[in-house]
Order: sequence, then structure tokens, then C-alpha cells
Amino acid sequence: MASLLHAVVRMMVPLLLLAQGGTWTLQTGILNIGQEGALLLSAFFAVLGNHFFGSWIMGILFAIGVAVLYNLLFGLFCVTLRANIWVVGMTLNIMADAGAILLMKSIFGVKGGFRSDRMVPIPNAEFSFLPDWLVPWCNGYSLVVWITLLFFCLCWYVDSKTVFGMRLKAAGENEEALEAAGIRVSRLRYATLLVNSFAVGLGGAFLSTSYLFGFTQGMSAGRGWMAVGAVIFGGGSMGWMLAAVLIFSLAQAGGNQLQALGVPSYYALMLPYILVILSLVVRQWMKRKA
Amino acid sequence: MSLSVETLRRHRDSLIVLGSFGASLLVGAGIIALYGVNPLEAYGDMISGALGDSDALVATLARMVPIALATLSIAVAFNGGMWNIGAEGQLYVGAFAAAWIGLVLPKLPGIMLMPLGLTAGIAAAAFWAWIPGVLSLRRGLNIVVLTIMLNSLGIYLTSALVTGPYAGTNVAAGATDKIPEAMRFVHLSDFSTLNTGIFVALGAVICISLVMLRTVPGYDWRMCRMNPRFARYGGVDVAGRQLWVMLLSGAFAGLAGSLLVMGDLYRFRTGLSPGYTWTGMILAMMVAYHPLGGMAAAFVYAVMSSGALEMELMTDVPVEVVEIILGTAVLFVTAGFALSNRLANRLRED
Amino acid sequence: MRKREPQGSRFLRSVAILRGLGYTDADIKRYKRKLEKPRQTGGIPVFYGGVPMTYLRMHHVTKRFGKLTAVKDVSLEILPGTIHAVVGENGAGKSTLMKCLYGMHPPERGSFYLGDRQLVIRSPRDAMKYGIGMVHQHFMLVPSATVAQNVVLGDEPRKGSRFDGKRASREVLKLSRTFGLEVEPDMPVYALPVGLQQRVEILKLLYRKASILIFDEPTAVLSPGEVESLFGIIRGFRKEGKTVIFIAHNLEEVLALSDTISVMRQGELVDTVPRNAVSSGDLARMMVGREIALPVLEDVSRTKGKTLLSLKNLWVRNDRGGWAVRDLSLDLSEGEIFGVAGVTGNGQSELEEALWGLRPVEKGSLLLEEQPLDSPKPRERREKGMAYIPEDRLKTGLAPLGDLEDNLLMGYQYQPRFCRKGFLKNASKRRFAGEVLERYGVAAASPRIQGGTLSGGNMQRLVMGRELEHDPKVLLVSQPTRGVDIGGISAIHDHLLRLRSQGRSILLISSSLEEILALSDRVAVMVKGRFVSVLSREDVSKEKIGALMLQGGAEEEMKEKGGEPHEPLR
Repeated sequence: MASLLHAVVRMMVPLLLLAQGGTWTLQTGILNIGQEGALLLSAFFAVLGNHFFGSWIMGILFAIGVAVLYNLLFGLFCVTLRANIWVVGMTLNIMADAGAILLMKSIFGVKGGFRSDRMVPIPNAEFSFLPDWLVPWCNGYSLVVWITLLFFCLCWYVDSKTVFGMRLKAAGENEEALEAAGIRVSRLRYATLLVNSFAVGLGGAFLSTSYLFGFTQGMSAGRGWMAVGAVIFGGGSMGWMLAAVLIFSLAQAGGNQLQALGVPSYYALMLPYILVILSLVVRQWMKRKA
Repeated sequence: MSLSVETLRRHRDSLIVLGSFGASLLVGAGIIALYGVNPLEAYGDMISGALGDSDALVATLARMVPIALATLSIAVAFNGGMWNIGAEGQLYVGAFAAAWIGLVLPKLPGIMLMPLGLTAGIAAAAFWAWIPGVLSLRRGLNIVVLTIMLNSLGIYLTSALVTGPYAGTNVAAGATDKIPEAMRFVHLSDFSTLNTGIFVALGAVICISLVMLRTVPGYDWRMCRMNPRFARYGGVDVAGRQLWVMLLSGAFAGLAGSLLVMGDLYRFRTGLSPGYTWTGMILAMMVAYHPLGGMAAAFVYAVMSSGALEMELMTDVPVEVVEIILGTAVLFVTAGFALSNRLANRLRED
Repeated sequence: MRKREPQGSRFLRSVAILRGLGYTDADIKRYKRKLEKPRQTGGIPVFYGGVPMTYLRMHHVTKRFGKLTAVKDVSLEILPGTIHAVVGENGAGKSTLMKCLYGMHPPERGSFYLGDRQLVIRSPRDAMKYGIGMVHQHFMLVPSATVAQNVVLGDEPRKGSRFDGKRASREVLKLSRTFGLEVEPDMPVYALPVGLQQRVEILKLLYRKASILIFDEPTAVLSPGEVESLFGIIRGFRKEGKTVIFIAHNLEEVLALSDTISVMRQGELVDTVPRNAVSSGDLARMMVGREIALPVLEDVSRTKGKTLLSLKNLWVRNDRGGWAVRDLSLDLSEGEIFGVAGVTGNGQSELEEALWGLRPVEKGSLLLEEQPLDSPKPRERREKGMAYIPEDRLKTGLAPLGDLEDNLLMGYQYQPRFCRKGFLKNASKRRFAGEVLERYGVAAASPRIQGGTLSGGNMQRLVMGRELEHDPKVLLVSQPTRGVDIGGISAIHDHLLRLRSQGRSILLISSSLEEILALSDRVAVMVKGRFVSVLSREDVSKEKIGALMLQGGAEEEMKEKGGEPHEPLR
């Protein structure tokens, strides 16, 4: 059972990180479509930084750095120029995919995937003071898991208690009201994009230096899109977003278990996607009833 | 003076597209230079690699077929205001359906098999596009997320089928057996997969271009994209038109998949498409959804990516640089349109 | 009273006006004493050296929008502690002038002074610094946030970066009690009726210590009871020494509430008078100009009197779930122009949308030439000979990104003239576009420019041309001359009259009284979704001002008939 918990938590980390940042940008009225590409690129740069400096910290920093640049570019087009989110987002996703492969080929000279012995994985957090019965449940998680937890709690606090959080929600509902009060909505949007990039960078680093080790072509595997699905499901509410992330992670973990039980792999893989569609349909139906 | 402004206006769209492409080539040149390679040489290698001799030309054309169909699939969808991101899944589903016909009805004569195969492929893909279309138009769900989920579902489903009940004799290959000979489009050359299916593709492309540019539905689709409320006010059945747009978009993706199975590979396998529709998306966006522009862009891309293989061999510049260049072109186009609209509005104030 | 002789005429004039307003000398004494106490409002001392400093002066303000001059060289003085109304018809420039003051539109020419001090106002934030605040017609509220949150947005009380919700509620409660604006600070705004929402807007200004409060058409959205409360609140402000500027065009309300009245017409200031110096007739005359010689409408013989369009007991909902159109009935005959007058926001938009099929008709029926129009299909209406010029050209009447040819084709693309077996006849399309552009005087460099780049007036001409070319039997037209210059207006009116003489019917919705009076055979005033007082042309000339302006009477009538219970806003 504890191992199941571990599996689910590992699935949850990238989803939660991305969906959290995405929820905030959604609150200000921007749906960040480019998450899949950002995740992939961050995963690559985490490997890059990790490899060249032999340090997982540098890996994380590199990942966050590229995510910041990526989101700023997205912001430039979608917030400042007010271009079409779908066009810009999809283009950035595609470019990120190609870009990661390009860099991998150019810097490491390999195709398909890369990992090196110089890379240092992100350490797991082991608490030595815990009583024995808690150990399998609480130990053995990557540091990132605890950072994610902290991040989520922090975001919850900011979202519900601070002025900033209040303004975010107001921005999504009535931009004019904020502009009239002298608050620049575009600044808020960039701020949320920055928070998002921190989260995405961390998520990408987790993906390539903790959950899996090394970078593989297309390793984001639709997680970014599942996060977008969770964001839409949440509709700006962190609670609903969390629910969606839980459901999707359970589905993914469940899919893996099914595979272990002998269900053909592809059917098992389909499970989370079907769940996303179903959950969106149900949610929409619930909204219509209200 | 006014004459030149008038010309600028009339050709504004084309100018922005061409200008952006040019600018992106410059950016590409910059990237190539970073590899210590002379960009002109690299571009030259590209062109010679793609068009240098008849073999290369044929290979380039072979590449162009699925790309052109994918580009048009996306162009039709986006031009009608429907964000169909699920073309890849639709392609796979269509391809499998076409293969399925060949696998379950091997004894039928070619004259029946071929149209049946194409029809099955197109219909299956159209159905795969219909699902998200209906859900988003009638229920208000977000079409982008839906189509993306169906992408994965389509790919996984067909993969499951091809490694399961429809697996070929070599199970590990992840492919079906070859389809019956009667169903195949004949290869036109020994060195590439260019086949007679190109004529079907050509026909389809010409038809859809005519429809988009010259017919009333084409006009309606454009208006649905530009201002759906205006279209409704004018009497257009917006939801109906947009659903058709999704079906057509799926159909083209399905045609691409079917031709890959019936013309190129003679079988269905996993990993059938190396992302044709993603490329198609970039190309369609680059030419602002214009069908003829899309054809030209598909040709340019085919040249660039065919030639890029040569370029990578000769100079170590990776082929992905092509995608980066085209992506940059799309960004420039987007910025170009956004800025030019702003400019026009500013001028209006005066 | 301090006997100081300050700078000459200003002081004398202010006393004279105060006397003219009916204040006795004792009142004036008391008033002056209040002013002498330096009260910090907006950081500017109220009184200095015997001269009231906070009187607000607008000096030669001119504001243009493209070719249209909305405000022409207006100079206006507003005394502190008074209720100053600015009246005029729609388009007279009163809103625009105040928006200039409030920093929303910087004027081309002109400046503002508070006493001797010139004001630098480039945004509403700047205006608030001087203590000038504005309550808009369309509220800028965040629906799911509470009253307190909305009020403090932008200047939130904090504990570090935490939002101090309790303090916000407390302060808002205090403010609301002080000024008689009773509101629950912790209620979400979407649950409040419109009148209370307006209070939240007012509280926003009071929270930021505004001393000059501008109200833009505040009564348009209020029920009669709410109007009375609002007036009480405004009088309370006056007692506190605040200055209130009140933009309106309902003369009865203006006369009930204000101390001074400025009348604007077509961008110019006609005059500023104290309240007891004028009657409603005087005001009306000033607003509208000399007695308009109503054009003699050709007497279209009504012997046929065939009804082309018939509305029976129409009920239509608005976007918030309430009723926008209530039990509306109308028979429109051939050769008739039926004018619907009234302030926008009383259900006109919903009515036209329902007539065209863009909005469902909840109850009642719609008949075109005796045939029911059941389904909400615009195409059906076109095919049966209706056309519609919508109020909102940019959102509904045009595709701003499309070129003019495309814009002009809309509505015609299924006709055999332009379509052969599904194919567009491009040559016909081009020719048609050229003809329409020329015939209706649309100034465009070429038919290939984008629709969105046309000026407002040209957009209107384009849409009008397109719809008129349908040669409709019934034409729905809403705000036909909004944003159009004088020459264009008369051309458009000519087109409408020509249709009328050809025996067509026109339903004209307009907030311009002059236009309604000039064109209509019958006039109805639309208030809160109903028609009150449907008058024929002859009656209108005598009572035009009376019935049409006195919305008050209309409210009474409505209360008697028993309106629908107020629906929740969500």
C-alpha cells in the first residue's frame, strides 16, 4: 500500500506543480497552453545543468531559468501583444520539442535520449527520527515532493488570504475594475507566469533527475496537457484543481498497476486520458445544472 | 503615393507571411552560424539535397504528400474557427481503419477495395473529429483539451489493436501484415515511397482549395472565424458549419493516414506519423490558413526537411533546425498581424 | 461672519448665486462658517483666506474623437457643496466632459482648476488624488467578491501582505453608516440588487475620501424606491459639504434634486442656471434647441393599414436571468416608422435581439405578415424580407478583421444573385461592394481594407447600406446615427423616409429624441421593458417633452400594473 502511495505521489508532483501555476494564470484570464513544451524543455535543461556542474541544484536552476524565458516569451505574445493563445502556445510547444532534440544532438551528440554518470539525482528525504510504522509512508520521497507540498500550501495561503490572491481573482472576473483602481492587470499576469515558470522548472527537473533519470525525447508524455485539463477542471479554484490532479494521478498509477497485472499496456495507458475527458464532461454538466 | 499604400493593403497578408518567413530564415542563418557553418552553404545543401537529382526530387515529393494533407486538415479547421489539435489521433484512426479493410476483406477485387479503404479511413477519422466537435459545440467543452486527449486515445487505441488482435506475423514489430496487393497504390519509383496516391491527394487538395476560396461555405467558415456573432446575425448556421469544418478536417487527416497505409508502407504500424500534423499546424498558422499558401508552405517544408537530412550529414547541423525556423516564422506572423491591426486601429483614431 | 474683502467679483458672485438659490443670509452665514473650517479632503485645504478654494473650474475644454467633436470649448464652474446637474440629450457631450475631468479621456484642449490650482489629471487615479470621484453608469465590480473587498480593491488594508478583511469590513461598515448607504460589507456583490450595487460604487469613492462626486446617469438602472434613497444619500453628501455633479436627462429628477443646472447641447454649453430660475419647459427648450420644425411626413395612405410585423405579449430575458422585455405588444403597419424612445438599458437591446432571432422569446409570439416566426433563425427572417441594423456595429454588425467586400456580402451569400450551385460569384460580389460603398457614401480607400479600420460613421454607413440594399419589407434599426456627423445623419434619415414612402415598415430604436421626433409616425417610450405612452405624431408635438421626459410618471404607471418580482441577479 505504501508503495502505491509512493507511486501516486510521484505522478502527482509534476501535475500538481504545473496545474497550480496554471490555475493562477487562469485566474487572471490567461490559459497557459504552452505547459507541455515548457515541461519538456525544463526537463532537458535540468539534465544539462546537472551534467555540466555535477549538481542537482544547478539542474533545478537551469530548468527554472529556461522555464522563465519560455513563459516570458509566451507572455510577450499573449499578454502584451494580445495574440491568439492557441496559435502561440502550440507553436511554442512544437518548437520546444524540436529545440530539446536539437540541443541534445548538438551538445551531447546523441539522439533519442541522454543520461550521464556525471549526473546527480535529486536526493530523497529521509527522516531518521520517525517511528518505524511511519517510515514506509513518509520516507523515500524526493526532496521535490516536499518542496511541492510546501509550494502548494504557500499558494493556498496566498490565494485565500493575501491581497495578491484577491487581485488575481478579481482580474479574471473584471479587468476594468482593477484598471480603474490603478492596478495594472498585465503586471499581475506576468507575475503569475513567473510563478508558473518556477513550478514548471521544478517539475521538469523532477521528471528528468528524480522520477526518471536522464532525458528522453518526448518524455513529457502528455503530462503538460493533463495539467491543462486539471486547470480547466478547476476553473480557477485550487480545490477543484487538486481534486482533478488526484484523480489523474490515481488513474496513471492505476494504469501502471493494471499493466503489472497483465492488461495490455496501451489500454492501461489510455485510462488517464479517458478520465480527463469524462471529468470535464461531468464538470460541465455540473456547471450547467447550477 | 496612394497607389503603393493600396498595394500594401491588398497584399498585407501575403507580405506579412513572406516577410516573416524571410526573417525566420535570417534567424535560422544565425543559428546555423553558431555551428560554425556558413548559412548560405547550409541552405544550399538543403536545396541540393532536396532537389538536386531526380531521386531526391521524388523523395521530396513523397514527403510532401502527407504534409500537405495535414496542413490542409489544420487549415480547414482553424480557418473555420475550430481549434482541432487532434489531427494526429485522427490520422492514426483513419490509417488503421483503411488497413483494417484490407485485413478483413482480402478477397475483394481492387476496384472495390481501394475506394472502400479510402472511405473507411476518411470516415473513421471524421468520426474521431466529430466527437470533440459535438462535445464542444453542443456542450461548451474546451475543444483543445478534448482533441488532445483524443489524440493520445487514438494513438494508444490503434497501437493496442496493432499489437493485439491485428498484429502481423512478426508481433514484435508493432505492425500489421501487409495489405492485399489489390489495395495498394503503386510506387512510382524504386527509391522512395512516392506513389499514385499523390493524385488522390492532389484532387482532394484542389477541391478543398476551391471550396475554401470560392464557395459560399468557404465564405461562411471565414466569417465564423472572424466574428461568430456577426455570422449568426447574418444568417449563417454557425454551429452547423463548424461541425462540418471539424468533419472535413478529420477527413483530411484520415486521408493522409490512409494514403500512408495504402501508398507508402502498405501496412499500419505504430509510429506511423513522425508528427506530420504538428508540422502541418505550424505551416497552416504560418500562412494564415490560406489553402494555396499551405500547399506552397508544404512544398517549402518538404524541401527543407528533405534537404536538412543532407545538411545534417554534411554539416552536423541537426534537422530540427527546420522546425525552429518555421516556428519562428509563425511567431513573426502572429506578431506581424497583431502589430498591423494595432497600427490600423491607431490610424483610425485620426 | 468674517468681513474680509477677498478678490473682487468671484466672492460677490458666489454670494449672489447662493442668494439666488434661495439661501437666506443666515444660511449663508452658516454655510460660510462651515467652509472656513479647513477640512482636509483629498489633501487640498478647503478654504483659504475667505475664498472657497474648492470650486471646480473647467476651462475651454475640447475633446475630439476622430472627426467628431464631442465637447466644444466648454468652460464651466461648479460651486463647492452644491448639487450641480449637467443635462442634455444623448450625445450632448455631458458624459464625455466628465470623463475628461475624471482622467479617462485626456482632452485635446482645456484645463481644470480647483480654485487657483491647476490640476494634472491623466488617469482616474490622478483624479482621485484631488478628491474627484466618478460613479459610472456601468458598474465596475467584481461579482464574486464581497462588498468590502470591492470597495477597498487597490487600496486594501493589510497586515503585511495579508489582506485584513476584518478591518476592511469594519471601515466599510463605518462609512456606510456615516453616509446612510446601508450595505452588508460581507455580502458578495452578485447577490445584491442594482441599487445596492450602486452604493458599493459610491462607497469606493467615499473610502478614498472623495469630496467631489460625479454621478453618470445614476437613475437609469434604479427602481423608483431606489431613486428616492439615492437622492437622500446625495442630499446627505451636500450636508457634509461635498460637491455632487449629476449627469442626467430626466428633467423631473433634475429639478427635484439639484441646486444648479448646466445645459449642454451638441457638445456646447448652452447655459448654467440656478434651479429656481427655470422651469422644465425652459430646460427642455435649451436642451433641444429652438422649436424643431418637424418635417412634414408624407401622408402615406393608411387605407390598407396592413400589419407587417406583429408582436404579441413578448417576454424576453436578459443575460442575468431577469426580464428585459415585459409583455410587449405592437402592430407595425405598412408605410410606418415606429419609434422606440427611452434611455438605453431598458430592454431595447434585448428586444431587437429577440426580434432578429439572436435571443429566445420566452413567452408571446412574433408574426411577420401573419406568419409566425417561431425559430430563432436570422436566415429565415432575411428570406422573409426583414433586415436589421444592429446597435452594436463592431460586435454584431461587422467582422472587423474581414475586408469590406466580405462584410458587405453577409446576408446575401445564399441568394442566386451571388451564388451559383454553391460557388460565389466573385465578380458580382465586387460590383455590389463598389455600388454600396458609393451609394451610401462610405469613405474607404479601397474595398479591400479591413472593416475594423473604418471610422464609426463609415461603419454605420456600411452596415446601413448593406441592410437597406435588401429592400426589406420590415426594417429593424437601432441607433442609426450614433457617431455619424450632421451630413451623414440627414442622408441616413432620407434613406429611412424613402423606405417609408415605399410602403415599408420601420421599427426605429433610438436614444436621440430629435431623431425619433423627426422620423416617427408613432412613438413609444420604453421603460424597464414595457411600452408606456404610445403616442401618435400629432400628439407628440405638443406633449413631446412632457411624456417622454417624465419617466417618473411612467414608473407610477408601472407600479400600478404590478411588475414582475425582482429576479435574482445570478
